[in-house]
Amino acid sequence: MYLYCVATITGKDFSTHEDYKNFYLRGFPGNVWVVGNNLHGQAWITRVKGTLKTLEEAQAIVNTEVQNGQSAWDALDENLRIGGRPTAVTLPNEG
Amino acid sequence: MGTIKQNYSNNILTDGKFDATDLTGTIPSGNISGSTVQTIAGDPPAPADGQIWYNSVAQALKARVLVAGSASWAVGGNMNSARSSYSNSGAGTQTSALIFGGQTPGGVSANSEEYNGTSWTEGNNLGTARQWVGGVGTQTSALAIKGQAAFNPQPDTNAVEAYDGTTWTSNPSANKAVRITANFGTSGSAVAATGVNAPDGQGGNGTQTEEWNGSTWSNGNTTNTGGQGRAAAAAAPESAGVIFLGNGPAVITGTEEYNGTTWTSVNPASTGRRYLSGWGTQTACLAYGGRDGPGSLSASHVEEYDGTSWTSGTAAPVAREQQGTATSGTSTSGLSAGGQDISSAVTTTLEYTVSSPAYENQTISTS
Repeated sequence: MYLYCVATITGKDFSTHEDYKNFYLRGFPGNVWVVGNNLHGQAWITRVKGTLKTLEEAQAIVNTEVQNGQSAWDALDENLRIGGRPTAVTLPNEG
Repeated sequence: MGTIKQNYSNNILTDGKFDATDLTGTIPSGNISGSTVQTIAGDPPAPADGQIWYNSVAQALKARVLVAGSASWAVGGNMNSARSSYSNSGAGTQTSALIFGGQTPGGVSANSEEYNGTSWTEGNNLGTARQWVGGVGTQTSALAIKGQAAFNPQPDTNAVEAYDGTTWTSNPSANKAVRITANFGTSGSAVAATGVNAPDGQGGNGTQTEEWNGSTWSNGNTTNTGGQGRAAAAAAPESAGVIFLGNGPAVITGTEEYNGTTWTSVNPASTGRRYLSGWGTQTACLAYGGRDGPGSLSASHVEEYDGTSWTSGTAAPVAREQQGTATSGTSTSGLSAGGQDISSAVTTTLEYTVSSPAYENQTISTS
């Protein structure tokens, strides 16, 4: 089971090796983080001053960021495009 | 509760210590007998390595066993400026890194920043601003190799600069002006292979190899597969290198090893990616991030190469492409910095570490 939050990477120790051992943690476009729902994960959200979101709210933020990326890619001259046009991202949802 | 199926003699190490890492389950207290295993109300305060005891509180047979190291990621200090358009670019190690050049939202950058394991400090700039610049060496003895000095339709550059820990100075130029090369070696002996010298989207994926002997650049034998945005085990010596993945023009999974003279195609990786990081040596390296291909996003994948085959590694917490790399990193200690997430340059630093094997108290159990 996951928690969803928005948190900006602030630098050193935003997340540590110990964090990744203690709970699931993955970042997504729009500063959205999917966090394992245990005591360690909950404490991490507090530590980084994360703002809790529902899955639907978090997915909407990711979708907006992807759309912004697509618009930016579309606006580039063809010769300046690196890689392909960004595609949709679906946040993990376990239970 | 169950029958003990494990033949414990298989777990006695040559030094007489007990390795319980492959045991699972729980042994009931009634099955424990004999005078050689102590019963203790808890764990002993300072157990000897290999010691076995019965913890009467937890009702578990426990031992002080050697546990293998594990890989994990951590976020490091943010760079001072968000930059991308790197591909195995940079120098140094996780605690002493150097990232230079790249692309900022405002254009091609000459910035050079040093990392001390905690924070980044702005250093003296490159003489020539450039993106897609190759890098080898350490924080106090690095090379910036080739690259693209301005946006399309050119110019790519064959310029090479050397860093002594304080200042960038011009070095003898390489022979061919290309960008997005795969590089390995040191500031005194290096290889720059593949790359592109045509406008983006117009192909031109090269097979050229150039070797630096500390004084001059010379042409080597060509790679088997042309490409750009390939990565290398960047700390490998000139006589035992390996390059992998990249774009040629579709994303490729290929791996090629170099013996100082010729390239040999070996087992490919699983997921084709370009504009990624690589660190380590020919027999112990990893590939992180990059972009999977047209229509896809930056990747968080990690694959590890042992000199024979690739295996999936511990994924990074975030996906990145075009990130800078501490190119003298090892397979157990690496760093990537900056790069691009979905569409924007970022300042994030990611530190990869494989912990050393260590003795821990563990419960011995059955399966």
